Amino acid sequence: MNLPDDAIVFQNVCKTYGLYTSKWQMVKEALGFKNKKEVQQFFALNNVNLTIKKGERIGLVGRNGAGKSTLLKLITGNFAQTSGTIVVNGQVQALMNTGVGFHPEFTGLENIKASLLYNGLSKDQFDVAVEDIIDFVELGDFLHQPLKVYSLGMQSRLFFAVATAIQPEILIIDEVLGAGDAYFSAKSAERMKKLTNSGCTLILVSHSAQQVLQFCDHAYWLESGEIVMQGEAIDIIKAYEEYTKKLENEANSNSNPQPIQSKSVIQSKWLRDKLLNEVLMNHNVMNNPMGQNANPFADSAKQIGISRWPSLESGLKIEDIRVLDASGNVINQVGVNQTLDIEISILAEETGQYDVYFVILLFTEDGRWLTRHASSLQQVKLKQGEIYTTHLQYEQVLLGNGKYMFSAAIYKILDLKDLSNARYYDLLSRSFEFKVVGEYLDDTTVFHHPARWSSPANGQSRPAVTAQNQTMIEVQ
Amino acid sequence: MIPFVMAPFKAIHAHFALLEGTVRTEIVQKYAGSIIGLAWAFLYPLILFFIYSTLYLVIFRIRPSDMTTNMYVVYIMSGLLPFLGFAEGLSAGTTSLSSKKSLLLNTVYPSEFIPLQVVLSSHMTLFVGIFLLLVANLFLLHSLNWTVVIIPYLILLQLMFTGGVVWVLSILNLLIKDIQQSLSFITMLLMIMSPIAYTPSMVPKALKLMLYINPFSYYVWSYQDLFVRGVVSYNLLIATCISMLSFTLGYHFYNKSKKVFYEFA
Repeated sequence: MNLPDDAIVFQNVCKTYGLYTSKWQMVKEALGFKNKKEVQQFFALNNVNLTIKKGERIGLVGRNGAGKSTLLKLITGNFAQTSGTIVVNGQVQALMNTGVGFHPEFTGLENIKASLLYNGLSKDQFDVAVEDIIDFVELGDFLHQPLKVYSLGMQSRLFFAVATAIQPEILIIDEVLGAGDAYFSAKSAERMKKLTNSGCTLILVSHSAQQVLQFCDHAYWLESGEIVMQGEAIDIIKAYEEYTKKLENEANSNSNPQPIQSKSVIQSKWLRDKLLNEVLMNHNVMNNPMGQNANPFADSAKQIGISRWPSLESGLKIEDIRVLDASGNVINQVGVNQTLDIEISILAEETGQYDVYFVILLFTEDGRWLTRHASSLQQVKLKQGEIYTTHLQYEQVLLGNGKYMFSAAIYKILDLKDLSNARYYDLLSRSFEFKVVGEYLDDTTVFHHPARWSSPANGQSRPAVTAQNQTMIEVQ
Repeated sequence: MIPFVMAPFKAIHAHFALLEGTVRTEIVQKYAGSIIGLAWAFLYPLILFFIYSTLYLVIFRIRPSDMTTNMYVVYIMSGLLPFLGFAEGLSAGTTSLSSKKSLLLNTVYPSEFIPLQVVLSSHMTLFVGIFLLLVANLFLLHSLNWTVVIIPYLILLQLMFTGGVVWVLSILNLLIKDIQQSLSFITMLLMIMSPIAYTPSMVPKALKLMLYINPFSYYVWSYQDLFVRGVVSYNLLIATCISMLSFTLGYHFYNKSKKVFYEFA
């Protein structure tokens, strides 16, 4: 079982915490004496099996109290499992807290050196790391001032830089750290990326779907101490988001008419299990094309797993999504500057007059949100079973090389100034994909922004740059 | 048996540079922010020395019949300095784990060094104090016993003894906070029960028994033997045995129970 290229192996691992009713019970148990009354046990991890290969980058998602942090703690080796076996091959480094070993009276430089002692670097790595940190934090003269006079931002920069100055074989992170203002958070993100891409095995706990997509290839979804789903990061994230959305809706729908009940209802284990099963069933069917109504979107846009969020309004359903070229052929890749057409077909489940807004959200492959296309209000009269089609056209695709995901939705109420009140008939989250192929293979351009060169000699006195598209682009 | 005894030494040997670094930082941290900084490490035993000499030479004017006044001052200081080091190591070491909780998640630094590094740095005053005592010895008594060359060994024994005790107390203190609460009384009691300012012949029988029960008495007597009397006695042998026992058992207790107790941190 324990192959040399396995970094972490969990076999039937359980971890329980005693729910002690008194301090005495706790002390007795810790000292190895049996308590007369059976102490109730809480299963933080229940029969967990996982194998993480060397160099793999794993995300752990799950709600608060699902057992994510417990799992990380067991990997550190400083805490004991209740039963099962854990094998860890390699030096584990934990990025779980910052500010270890810092002293308010020490200067920045003294603190860097004091805290770095706990990072397990060799002598030459140590000196390099000190230089690197000084370079990163940009503290200037403050480097030789005591820590207690630092602003919070300066402190957090220093904490972050020191905590991330490690050479891990296996890196575990409980929530990605960041530090400071916009400039430094970009710099921190870059540093985190360098660290996680250093070839180490990574296990990341995060509540941010985007971070998991950005840093991880695979993911595990933990719920009440059990792994309920594992696989490609994008699939897990979508299933998990769908589930949390369902919980949220359930809580809202129950709290509106009977506000008193709201909390207790959503706490109900039965309901949670029911919703969980719905999501898991749905995603298992998708991954298994032989199943019933396996693929409702046969030969339409290239799918990456349909993730349908629970509808808030009834009557309309997205029937089909197709990605087309200029002449109406279904495609799944497009060249830069060519035409791309996304066709949305909706089906009326009941006869009626409908208010509809069509929405497409575009994402990069690592989950960053690029742009939103929301149509204006369309009022359509449809008979039951009738299909209505609308198109979103990119006359010229100006995106860089790469894969893009998109979500499609139809809304009944949509006010971009107040999205909290938006209500949709149907929403398919990050379920489709197309590929953009540019002229040059190695071109890593994010966006081909339209602009014009000009020189004063040509009669123009100031450079003219015209933006044609209103597009959100996050430049790396 | 031999691997069992050697285990703590091996662990220290393997991470010696790391331990040295953290002890050094810990010492500097203790005085960080004060104007004269490390000079306090010298000033503290020096002031102590003057207070005690004044107390016994000018105010109390008592001394054992077989000692001169100067000798008596050296006698007291040679017992008091080690005791203060021990008491400080005990109290700082016991709370070391609970005050450095975040280090328990650290996977690179061995957590058993946390109590040890605090014990070592707490003995800074003793290292400096012993040096001052040697100088005072020369001035007050105009002679120095050859036996003082054994002092470093005795200090090592004391560090091992304190380290072992603190390993047990620090980890128990994660769960039973009552330990740190009661510690100040215990050290006060231990001080009274230690033969620092008196000799066994000066006290009544009941107290004499307490002297022999108190393990730290043997260290105090050993210091006094080496400094004042210039003899190597069976006290040093007993201290050696206590130190080995405390150090080995403390280390193994810590490692056996750490996974259980970290959960309560």
